[in-house]
Amino acid sequence: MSDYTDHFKETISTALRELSPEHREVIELTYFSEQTSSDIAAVLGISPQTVRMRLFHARRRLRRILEQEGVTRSMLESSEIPPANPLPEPGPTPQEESPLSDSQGSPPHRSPSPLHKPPGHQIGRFVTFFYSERTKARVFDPIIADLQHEYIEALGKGEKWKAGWVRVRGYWGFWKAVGLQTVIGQIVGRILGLFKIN
Amino acid sequence: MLDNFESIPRLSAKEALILQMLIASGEMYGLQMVEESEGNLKRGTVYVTLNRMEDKGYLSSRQEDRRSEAIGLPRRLYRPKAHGVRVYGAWERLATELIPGFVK
Repeated sequence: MSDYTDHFKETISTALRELSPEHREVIELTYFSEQTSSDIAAVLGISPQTVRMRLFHARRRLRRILEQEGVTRSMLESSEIPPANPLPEPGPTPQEESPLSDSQGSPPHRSPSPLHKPPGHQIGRFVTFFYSERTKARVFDPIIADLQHEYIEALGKGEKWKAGWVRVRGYWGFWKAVGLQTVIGQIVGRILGLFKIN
Repeated sequence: MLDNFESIPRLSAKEALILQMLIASGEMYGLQMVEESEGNLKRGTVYVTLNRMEDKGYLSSRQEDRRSEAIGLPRRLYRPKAHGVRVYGAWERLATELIPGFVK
């Protein structure tokens, strides 16, 4: 996993160095600081339309550089599988052609690697409404960690379909654990266990 | 022997399997146990079981060490506690004597 990640990051930063300063600026502000196009426009003193236009050209340029560097399309596209959960997933890769999704007012540099957010990085917050931090750390976080680990591993091998499956299965396991952690869930689990279902 | 029967903590089949694997290999990831259990443990439920076992004092867990720039949440590593090893030993002896044809 880390080999892939390191290689991926190195390729991206090499590609970024080859961009023009204007292009690099918008890419870095968008993906590394997670700012909206109007935030960036205010910072750079240009209109939001110009920011989006620059971003469009910068992404196209970046894609060509990455393709020359041997980053395959499927490798990058596989990080764009639509999320299986209803929670928002801000995680555009530099490859994405869709209009820039606005970040959700989150502080910049929150994550050590905003370039590639694996699935489930927000779902954990949901369970804190119902369960203690301790339960979250002991039961739910490990499930998400496994999901992310397998997801990134599958992407590293270029197995897009497998990454998608890992994601769906991961969320299923997660909700199953949420149900099981309740008292009623325990009783149902025992009953199902008697019949060797489960 | 049967006088002590009530005082021996009961282990469920899953708990016994987890302890057996942990005693054999020292420290394992949850997912690793699921993979090595040949379908006896499920990935969605294993952490619920592990959490309960930790509460009962059978095992301890810690987050894996990793570099700060690694992507995703850190995974958890589990290792048996002395109490867990003792309970498993007792459970195994009991099972061997009480259940005809019980193979470890």
